[in-house]
Amino acid sequence: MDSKLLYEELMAYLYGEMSAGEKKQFEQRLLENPELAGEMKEMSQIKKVVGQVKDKEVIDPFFFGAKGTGTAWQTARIIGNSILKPAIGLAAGISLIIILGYFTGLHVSTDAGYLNITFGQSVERSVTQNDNYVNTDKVIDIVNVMLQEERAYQADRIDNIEKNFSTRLTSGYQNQQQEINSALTENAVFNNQMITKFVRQMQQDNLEYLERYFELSNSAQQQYVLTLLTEFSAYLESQREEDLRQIVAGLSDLKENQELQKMETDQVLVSILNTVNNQNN
Amino acid sequence: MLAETLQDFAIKYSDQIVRKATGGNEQAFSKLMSLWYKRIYNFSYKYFLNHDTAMDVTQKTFISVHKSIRKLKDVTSFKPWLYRIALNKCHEEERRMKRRKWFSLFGANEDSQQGELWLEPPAEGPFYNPDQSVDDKELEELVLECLSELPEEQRILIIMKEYEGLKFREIAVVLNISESTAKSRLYYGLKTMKLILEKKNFTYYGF
Repeated sequence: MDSKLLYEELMAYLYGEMSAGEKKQFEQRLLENPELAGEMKEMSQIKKVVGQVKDKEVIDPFFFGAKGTGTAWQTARIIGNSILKPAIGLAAGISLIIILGYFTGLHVSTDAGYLNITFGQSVERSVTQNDNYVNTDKVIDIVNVMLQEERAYQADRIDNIEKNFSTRLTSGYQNQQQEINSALTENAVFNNQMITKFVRQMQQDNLEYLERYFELSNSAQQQYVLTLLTEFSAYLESQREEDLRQIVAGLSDLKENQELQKMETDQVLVSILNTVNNQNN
Repeated sequence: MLAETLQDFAIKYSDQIVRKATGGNEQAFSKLMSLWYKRIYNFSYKYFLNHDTAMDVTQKTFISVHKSIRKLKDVTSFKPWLYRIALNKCHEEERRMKRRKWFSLFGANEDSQQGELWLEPPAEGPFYNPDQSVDDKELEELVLECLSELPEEQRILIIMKEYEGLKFREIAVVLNISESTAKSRLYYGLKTMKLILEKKNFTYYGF
C-alpha cells in the first residue's frame, strides 16, 4: 500500500463515505487485487476491535439559563455531579449560622413587614403604622383593582376587535359581491358574443353538411336507378328469349303432332282401303 | 460504532434548535446541551480517560458555546464548530495539567494523581491467551489503553471518526486540515493501533 490515494480510498470505503459508483469501482478493484483485499480485511478487523468501546452514560446537568452576559451565566453555571459540593457548602453555612445564633442569642423575627435580627435579649420594637405602609389587604385591593382595570381594558379591546372585524367582514363581503357582479356582467357580454359566434358557426356547418348530403344522396339515387333499369332490361330480354324458346318449342310440337296425325290418317286410310279390298275379294 | 439511538436521531435533525439557540433562546440552548452533552463528555473522556476531567472539559465547552453561539452564522456547521471548541478545551486542560504538574511542590503526588488519568496496563489476563474468552469490559479497557498510547493527531482522528461519527469533511474543518490528510492520519492511526495491540499479544480471535 504505497499509494496515498489508495489508502484514502480504503478509509472512505471502510467508513461508508463513497458514492455508489465509487464503491462499485473500488469493490471491483478489491476483487482484482488480493493485496488490497488483504489490507481491507486487516483494516476492517482493527476497526471492529476499536469499535468495541461503548459510550459512557452521563446525566446532562441542569441548566440555569441567565439572560445577559456569559459571565453572569458562568456564575449561574452548569451543575453536574459537582452539585454535592455547593449543597454541602450551603448546609454547612446554615449550620454555622444556627450554632452562632445559639451562642450569640440571635433572634430573627418578622413583624408587619419588618425583618428583625437581634443578638442577646430580644427588644420590643414599636412599629408605627404608616399610611404609606402596604399590607397584604392593600396589595390584594391593588391587585383586584388592577385586575378589574385589565378586564375592562381587555373587554374594550375585544369589543373593538369585534367591531373592526365585523366592519371588515361587511365591507369585504360587499366588495366581493361587487366584484362577482361585475365579473358576471363582463362574462355575460362575452358569453353572448360566444353563443352568437357558436350558433353562426353551427348553422354554417349544418348547411355544408346538408349540401354534401344531398349531393351524395342524388348521386347515389341516380346510380341506383340506372342499375335498376339495366337489371330490368336484362330481365325483360331474358324473359323474351324464354318466351321465344317456348313458342318455338310449341310450334315444333304442333308440327310433330300434325305429322303424326297425318301418318295416323294415312294408316287409317290404308286400313280402310285394305278392308275394302278384302271385302271386294 | 455508533448505534442509531433516538438521541442520535434528534442530533441529526437539530438545526432548528441550533437556529433558536443562536437567536438567544435559552430553552433551545438547554435542549441543545442535553442533546450534545453525552457526546462531548464521551469525546473528552476518550481524550483524557478520566471522568472528572471529562466533566470539567464538557462544562467548559458548553460555557464557551453559550458565550459564542450568537456568533455562529451557519447552523449546519454547528457540529464541527462544537467539536472544535471541545478540542480546544481539551488542549487547554492538557496544558493546565502540565503546568500544575510542573509547578507543584508535591510533584510525586501529582504524578500519582496524573497516573489516574490513564488506565493502568492490564495485568496478565485473557488478552494474553486467545483460548480464554475476552471479557467485553477488559477488551474495552485494552482498546482505550492502546488508544492513549497513540500520537495525539492519530488518536483524535480515531476518536472523532470511530466514536463520534464525524464525516471526513467535518473532521477536516475541526482540525483545519485537508480531507486527504484526515484520511491518511486515520489510516496510520489504525495501523499503529494494530501494532500496539500486537505488542500486547492481542489476537483477532473472533473478529
